[in-house]
Amino acid sequence: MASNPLLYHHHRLREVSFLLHASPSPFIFINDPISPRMTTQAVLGALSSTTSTTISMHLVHVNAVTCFSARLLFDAILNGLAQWTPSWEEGCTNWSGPNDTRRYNESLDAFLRGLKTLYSFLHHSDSNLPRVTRFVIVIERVERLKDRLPDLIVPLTRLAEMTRIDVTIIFVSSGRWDDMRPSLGASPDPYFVDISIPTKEACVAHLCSVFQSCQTEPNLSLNPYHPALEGIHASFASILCDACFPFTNDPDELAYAAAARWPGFVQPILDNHAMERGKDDSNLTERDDNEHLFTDDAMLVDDTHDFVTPPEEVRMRLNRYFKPSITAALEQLYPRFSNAQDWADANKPSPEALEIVFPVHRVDHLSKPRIGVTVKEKPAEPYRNLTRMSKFILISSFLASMNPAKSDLRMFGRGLDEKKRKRRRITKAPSAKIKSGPIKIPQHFLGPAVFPLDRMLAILGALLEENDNDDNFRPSKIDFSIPGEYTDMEVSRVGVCSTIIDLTSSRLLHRTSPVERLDGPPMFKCGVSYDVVLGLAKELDVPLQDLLWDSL
Amino acid sequence: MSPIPNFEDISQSVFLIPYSSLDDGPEEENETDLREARDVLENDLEHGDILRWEAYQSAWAKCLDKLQTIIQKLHEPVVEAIAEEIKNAYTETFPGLPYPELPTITISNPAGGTSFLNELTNQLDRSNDEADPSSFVTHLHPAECSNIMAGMKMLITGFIDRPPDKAKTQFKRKPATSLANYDINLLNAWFAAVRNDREQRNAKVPSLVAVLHDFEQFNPSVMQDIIDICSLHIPQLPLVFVMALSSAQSPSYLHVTYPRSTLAVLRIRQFHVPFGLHALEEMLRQTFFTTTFDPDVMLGPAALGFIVDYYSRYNSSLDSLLNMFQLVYLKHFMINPLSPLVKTTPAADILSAVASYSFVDTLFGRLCTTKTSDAWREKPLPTLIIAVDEAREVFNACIRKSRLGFELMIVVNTSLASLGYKSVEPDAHHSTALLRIAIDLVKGRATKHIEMLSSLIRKLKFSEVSSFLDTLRTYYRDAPAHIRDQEGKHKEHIDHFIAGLPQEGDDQYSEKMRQLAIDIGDWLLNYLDELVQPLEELPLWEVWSTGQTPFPMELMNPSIRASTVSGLLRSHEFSDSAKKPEETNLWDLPDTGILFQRYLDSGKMINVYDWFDSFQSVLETQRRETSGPRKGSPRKRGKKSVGGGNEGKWKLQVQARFIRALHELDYLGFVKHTGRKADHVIRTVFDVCDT
Repeated sequence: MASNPLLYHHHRLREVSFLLHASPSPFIFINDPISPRMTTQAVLGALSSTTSTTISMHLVHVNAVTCFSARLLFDAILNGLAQWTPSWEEGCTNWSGPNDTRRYNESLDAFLRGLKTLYSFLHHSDSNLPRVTRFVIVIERVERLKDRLPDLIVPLTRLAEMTRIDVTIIFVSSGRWDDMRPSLGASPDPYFVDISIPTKEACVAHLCSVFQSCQTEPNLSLNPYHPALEGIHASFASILCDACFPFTNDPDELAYAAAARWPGFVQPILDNHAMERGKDDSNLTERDDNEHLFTDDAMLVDDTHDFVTPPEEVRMRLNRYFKPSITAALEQLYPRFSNAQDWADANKPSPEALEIVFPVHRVDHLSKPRIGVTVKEKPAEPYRNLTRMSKFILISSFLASMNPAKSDLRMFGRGLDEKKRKRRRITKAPSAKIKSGPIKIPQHFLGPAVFPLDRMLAILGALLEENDNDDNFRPSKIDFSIPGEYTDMEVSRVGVCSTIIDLTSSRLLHRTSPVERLDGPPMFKCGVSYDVVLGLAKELDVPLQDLLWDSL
Repeated sequence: MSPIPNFEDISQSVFLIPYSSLDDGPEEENETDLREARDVLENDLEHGDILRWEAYQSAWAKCLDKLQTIIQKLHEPVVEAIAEEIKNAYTETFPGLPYPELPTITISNPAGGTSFLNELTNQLDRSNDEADPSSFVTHLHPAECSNIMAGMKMLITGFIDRPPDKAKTQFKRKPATSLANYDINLLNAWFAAVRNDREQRNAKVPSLVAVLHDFEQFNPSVMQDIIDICSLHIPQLPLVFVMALSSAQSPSYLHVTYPRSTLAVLRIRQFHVPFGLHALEEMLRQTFFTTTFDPDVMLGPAALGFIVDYYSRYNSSLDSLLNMFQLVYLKHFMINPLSPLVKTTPAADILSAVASYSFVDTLFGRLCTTKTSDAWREKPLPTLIIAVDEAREVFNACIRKSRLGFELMIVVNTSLASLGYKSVEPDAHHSTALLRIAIDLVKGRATKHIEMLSSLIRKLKFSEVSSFLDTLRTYYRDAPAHIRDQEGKHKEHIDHFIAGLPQEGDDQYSEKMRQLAIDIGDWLLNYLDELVQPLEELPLWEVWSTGQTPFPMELMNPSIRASTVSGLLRSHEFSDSAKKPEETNLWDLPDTGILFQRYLDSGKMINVYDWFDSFQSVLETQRRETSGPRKGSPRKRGKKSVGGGNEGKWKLQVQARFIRALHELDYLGFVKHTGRKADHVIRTVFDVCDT
């Protein structure tokens, strides 16, 4: 879906476009930290829309992610400039010059030769007019070139010099040129274009343009994307931007949230309209029936002629009713815990939204107004399904990550008399005397520390001995006589090791030492949060607070 | 010979080295192949091993078939939902999105195994028309996608290997001058041909489904790029990604591992395959505790307890569950000489064979005690066969009753639970009521549950009595025909209770109601007591139940350290079963074993030179002994040419063997090198219980 170029880009991109038509700089670098995707679209739009009588411009757009090898990059550029679409029937051959079948993708030299051949071919093919042939190569997400094809950055930036043809290369990136500039000044400095952070007005305008691009035919029945609703959409866009701007100003994200919320937002208005029409036709007042009428796509009756934009107070009620749900939508949608469509389906406004927005329809029953969003029910305890041993392993890995290694003996050690040692460190009152040296930051601010596997297994053994001593299921336990021997066997079983590997692969534990290393114990880091571990500990009756050195 | 696996491949966790008889020398014949090794037990029948093997095969095949049907039933709804989702991936469009999203289906299947994905693939194939498949499916595995180029190549070639149209013509590509086979544009060109062909014939354009197996094992940075590339070409290429996850946490693995920029191009729909205790419950309930299926061998309390514990503690995968059931069966038929009697009684001529004497003798001993009639003296064998058949009938009848009792208890339990009563107290292991009752039932301790249920029913609230009776009546109505016939008298009881429900307006309503509840409670108590009989009092019960035989845990979940140490200490037990431990001398052990024995005798730090000296002296003994008359007793050693008196060569050999054994111990993690003291290493293992 090609969206319209953003208005806020406009004058910067016009500048680029003018420049390319007048006297192009051979190398332009456009930096947009917020939405490079959209900027690329806008550049392409601006360049392809301007036509000139004196210049025949050949434009190609490649994505550095897609072109992960030099060959792909060369193929994409040459095919794109020649406007050559490889077809399956012809064996997917690349553009191969006007008459011969040479190969231009094997090396940089071949590519440059191909570029020159293509240039002269295109130049001569429309040489009846005294026009300048100009190549423009736009490379998106160019920051990826640095780790993929670092050798090609210099030649690409010097393409005009090396080929001596009229070619301009435009890099579009969310990063800075300084971060990818080759050393020793091997590349010339580009002409910099910095795109500013979009303003609220620009975003509102962008949302409106998205609405226009989705608009349905005006003679269709009233639906969320009917042209008659444009005015309401504009006010919706503005409150959406107000609500979301503290969190994100990426126009794509705003459009995503808007797409999810708009059908629900406009539903009461559609309902109201349907009801009023229904009253006119017959005394259909049941909302369900109307809803049914609306979803029926076959109905192409022009029923919008009598649609009047609702008055200001209705809009205000609508805004007030839905405003809290907009932030809720962003909270779910920005990290993509849910997708727009599912969210919109799950958060359809309740029937009482209609009554609140249009008090005319209020049926007399006392009900408290609710917010127009049903908070998505929390996923039932996400870790409940883990096996019992994985829960113990997670708890002990958390303890190993949070407690200093020196405290283990004090925390988990047992005397001969089977009594626990004194566990908790005595928290001293903050002494007035300021100690020298750096201040000790508590571990829970520093994040999980790395621990060797053996230490975690030892803690696991202590936990199992204390909390998992149920004899009911252990027929084989009788074989062991020394106290703790059973647990000792238990923690070195294959099941424990494979559980640790499983947890690592599902990223609940992080392995910090490389897999290939055989020397020394493997090192791990806990991958779950305090809250999760607390929940697990409650389930297993482990007194987590007592076992933490710095209790939270 | 099979090709040698690539051991360097770190993406593989297990290598299969298939057994091949050529690999072993003639002296190593200890593979436990049931048919070959002539696994003869005491008191066995003639050809008992073969009979037991056949009985095992038929019993296990029956059980496995049932279990697989249950698994398939569990999976079916999810498979259908996913197939539907794939079909509609590109037909439902949601307006207003900034860019199209790549439809992604995550299947979290912690139960593991490939059966689910196979079912899904079958379902997709089934719904596909032969001529015009509505989806093209390709499979990607982590090992094939070690880098982006390989990954893209696998994805693309997986699709374009099919001809795009009816003409079935594959055009020859010149690899040098055409698009690279890892270029997404190649897929584009191919799909354009597919689309053209379909549109000409007015057929539906297919979608391209990529199934990513073991998604956690894919390299995230590679996958991230593949997803990015694919997302740039939708909806021209109707790609759908199906990701098979083995983790069940939510937000999913994807949210934890992949950056937001990748998640933003996906439209993720999550599906969960049923697993966990619920799956275990279903499988147990429908095989071993149901009135509609009769497994040949019933799980005993030890096996059932272990399975439930292992499943909830270590590994909740269905594959391991099937393995455990199979092991229980295998063990039952391996160690129990009476097990050929499970289904059939051998004919008299087999029983009368000389080799079967002790078997028959045991049977007499077991059965004769109760009946010492004339028939036993006159025609012992036919009477024996009749008695065994009788015992089988009795056992089957009894276990069917127990199963009916179990089903009733579960019905009562669930209906009480729905009324808010808790009849079975949760225990530390959080196993469910059903599993609790099942374990106690096979232990013969179900009485406490029965009493608990009955006492709860006696105290039911008046309003709840009628709905409770309805549940019971529904159960009897839906029960299979043979149950209804058999238990008709109890059904009448229920009808009688229902007829006896007092009217609300009745003067003595509350007294009558209370009395009715008490009656129902008493009836249930007696009835269940009658149904649930301890199996272990029946004649020959151990033929049809695994009883207290412990589960062979070391096969499923061995302790690594203990097995390693016992392997080093008693290596002969692993190779020569005939040899008794007391017969073996120190010099008889393999080199690593000798070195390890000496290791155990040392202190915390070991002087390597002393260690070598002691090793050398053992080898000297070994050399003396083996060159003597006892030729060839320690394997391998015999082969070495030790005669000749070439002392220099011998010294070198000893040194080489020492170094090799030392490195083996080092590799196993028994020594730690330290720079603190020259020629010393540190022990890492202490306190080995060496008895």
